Amino acid sequence: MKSKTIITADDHPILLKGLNDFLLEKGYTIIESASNGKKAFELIEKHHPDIAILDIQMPGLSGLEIAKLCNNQKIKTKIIIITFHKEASLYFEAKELNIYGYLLKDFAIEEIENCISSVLENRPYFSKKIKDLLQLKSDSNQFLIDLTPSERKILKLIASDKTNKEIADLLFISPRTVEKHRSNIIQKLNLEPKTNALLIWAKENQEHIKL
Amino acid sequence: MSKFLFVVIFLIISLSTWAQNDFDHYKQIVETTNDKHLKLAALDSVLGITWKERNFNDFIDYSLIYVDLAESLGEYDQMAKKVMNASHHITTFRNDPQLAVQLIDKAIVYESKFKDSLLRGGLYLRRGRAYVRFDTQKAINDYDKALEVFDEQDDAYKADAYLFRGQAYSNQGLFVQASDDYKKAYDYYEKANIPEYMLHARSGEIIMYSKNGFIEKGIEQREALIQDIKKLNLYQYLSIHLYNQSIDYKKLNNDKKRYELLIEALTFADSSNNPTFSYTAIYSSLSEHFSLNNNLENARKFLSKTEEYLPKIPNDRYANSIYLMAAIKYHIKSNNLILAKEKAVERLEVLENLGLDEETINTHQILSEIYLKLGDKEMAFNHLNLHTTLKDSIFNQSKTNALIYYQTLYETERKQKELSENRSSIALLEEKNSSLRRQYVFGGITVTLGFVLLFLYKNQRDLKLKKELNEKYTQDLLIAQEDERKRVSKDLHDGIGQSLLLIKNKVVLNKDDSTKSLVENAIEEVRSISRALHPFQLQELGITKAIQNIIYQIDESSELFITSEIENIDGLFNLQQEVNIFRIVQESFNNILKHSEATGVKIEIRKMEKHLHLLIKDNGKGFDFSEKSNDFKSIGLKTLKERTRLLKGTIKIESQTKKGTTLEFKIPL
Repeated sequence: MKSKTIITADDHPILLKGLNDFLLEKGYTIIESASNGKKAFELIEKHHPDIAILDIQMPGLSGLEIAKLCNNQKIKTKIIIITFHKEASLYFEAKELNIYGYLLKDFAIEEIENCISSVLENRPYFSKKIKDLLQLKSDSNQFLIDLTPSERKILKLIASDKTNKEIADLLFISPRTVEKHRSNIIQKLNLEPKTNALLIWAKENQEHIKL
Repeated sequence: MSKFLFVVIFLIISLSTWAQNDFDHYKQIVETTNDKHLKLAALDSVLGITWKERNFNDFIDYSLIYVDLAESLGEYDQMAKKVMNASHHITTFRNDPQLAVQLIDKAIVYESKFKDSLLRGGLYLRRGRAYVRFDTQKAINDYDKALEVFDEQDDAYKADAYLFRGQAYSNQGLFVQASDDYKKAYDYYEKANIPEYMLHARSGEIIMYSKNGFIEKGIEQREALIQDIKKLNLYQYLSIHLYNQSIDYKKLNNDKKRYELLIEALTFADSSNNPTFSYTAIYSSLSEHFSLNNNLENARKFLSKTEEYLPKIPNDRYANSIYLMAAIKYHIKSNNLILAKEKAVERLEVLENLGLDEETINTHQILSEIYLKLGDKEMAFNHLNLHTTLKDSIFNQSKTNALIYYQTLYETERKQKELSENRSSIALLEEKNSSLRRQYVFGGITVTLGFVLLFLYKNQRDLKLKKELNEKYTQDLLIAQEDERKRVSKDLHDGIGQSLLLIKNKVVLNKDDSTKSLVENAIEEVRSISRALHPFQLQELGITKAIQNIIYQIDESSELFITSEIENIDGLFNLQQEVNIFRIVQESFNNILKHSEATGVKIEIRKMEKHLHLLIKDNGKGFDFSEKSNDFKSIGLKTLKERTRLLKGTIKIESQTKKGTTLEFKIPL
């Protein structure tokens, strides 16, 4: 388990050393470390480690760019992003790039162990703070993450038996806009394009929708 | 009572006879006294009284006595004065110019004793006036002498002398000299400021025109003279000039005009200096006019009227000659040839000493005609002969003079022509000058206008430059601000952020939980400040994600219901442009959140062929756009404008109160 290989990269030497020291102390094998993006990608290409723990903002290539390149070159290394930034968009971006973990630097020490073990089990891991940000209370309603807050408002109103007209009046928008949102939601939830499909789904998942 | 009445009656009588008594009283003294000085004083009083009463016979007689007495007493100044006064009346009233000359000769003997130039000159002037009646040449000599004697200051007297000499020359047919003298007289009268006599000088010239056959010119000049007389209110001269004018019209055979003028002259006769003469002359002429028109009744009537006035001026030969002409014409028309002959002979006698050659000639002619009708061919021939000879001699004499006069007039006219030519060349020069001046003025205006235009142009350019500079400044400010924010954000992130992370790691390792949460809060704070300062996602995730992110945040953190349709616009713009686009979206939403009270917003970002189309529409309360765009406090709108300009794009704002706001941006790719 502990024999899995890890590469770390951060342009901040003290933080990098702190992380390395912590991981070594916990018994992880760190093959090599890099202080810029370009070097980090070279190391990944060379060693094909199991895990690469990368900072986003680095000279040369950013963490996200490295992830993109790995995807393109079909390198199997699982990437964990460790950053100072707490952004919803980063979360979505990470998902898109098939990034396994997203950790905030200030919680790295506390969460890194859980993260690595989760990732090694092919389960993506996201910082608790990120989940708070995205208002995700439990893993069960994770599918709602894809919906925008506005879409979630509409879904909630649908669940409480409101018609398109009523929703439009309540939100001060046109029924056409409501209709458009509905079709977007159906698409995102991957439902069958049937007349009452969304209403039925909303009724079924009423508990989760009530945020 | 009866005594009192007597006194009153006596008083009345004595008052009424006072003047007569005075005259008798002084006369008595003159006749009785042996005291020569007393006699002289008494004579002086007698002269005063007779003068006042216009008793010219006595005035003349006593003047003669006075002169002799004064001479014997050696009172030469007094003597000269009385001589001057008497001589005038002896000449005109008593018609005895020879006597006048004798009298003046007596005084002139003492010429050297007179201190006053006026006295000496005056005597010569008076003698000239007397001589002119019978010896024109001697008169002219006296006028010459008078002009010599008068001082330079005696303008009025010199003018008189010139006027009289001019008249004498004119009578002699020396028109050139006459004309010259009239001009001088006119100038001196003008200098002495006596407009009345200036008219006399003019009238002398006019008479010469008539005499030389320039009748039309004479009429024209006299017409002007008459107008001037009327303007000056000198009505006393009007009737005589109107009368003279009628004579000229007679010469032109314009009987109608002649009649009109005579009638007009008649209306002013009363106010003339010598009404009796005026009436005599005018009535005679009217009678003559009616005889000519065979209106014998009227001719007779006016002739009778003349006869009423004539006895009042028995010594006025000229008036008499005029009357006689009228009488001759009347008698001829009424076929009373004997009477006509008598009148004609009488007229010749009257004219003998008057020197009016023209009149003498035509009287001879008329007399010849009368004799012919009477059958006395011999007498007819005699008078015709006299007529012709006289006419020829006069004609020859005056012909030469007239020729010279014409020449002078011609010369004068030529000079005037030259003068007017000079004037016209001066006018031409002035014209030239004024055109030059116009050019200068025009040039001046053009230059000024040019300067004004230049100034306006420069002003406008300056304004434009200033505006451009202002815009550039604003844009630079925005860029600088962005750079600064980015730098501060990076410093926070790389500096304090990293340090706090290390601190936290230490704290975690030491298991100090209370400190840990403090550090966590600090980190969270740094993170949010850094994020607010600069959108980190732009660089890391691209503009599309960054915009989606901000919309997500707003959607989540506000009550706004946001509908978004955002196409991927990554890689279309450089980083600086992306920052501006991102800021436009961010600030538009800020405005909506702060001011609009909207509940729904729609955002569309579309990639068109040549530009990016960005639409942000809300359902808020809106605002009066035109009102706000000029409001510099509306920084939200102002920065939107500036950022759009930085992107070389256009912004279209549609807003109406209570109907929401639509912002539409077009940003070229």
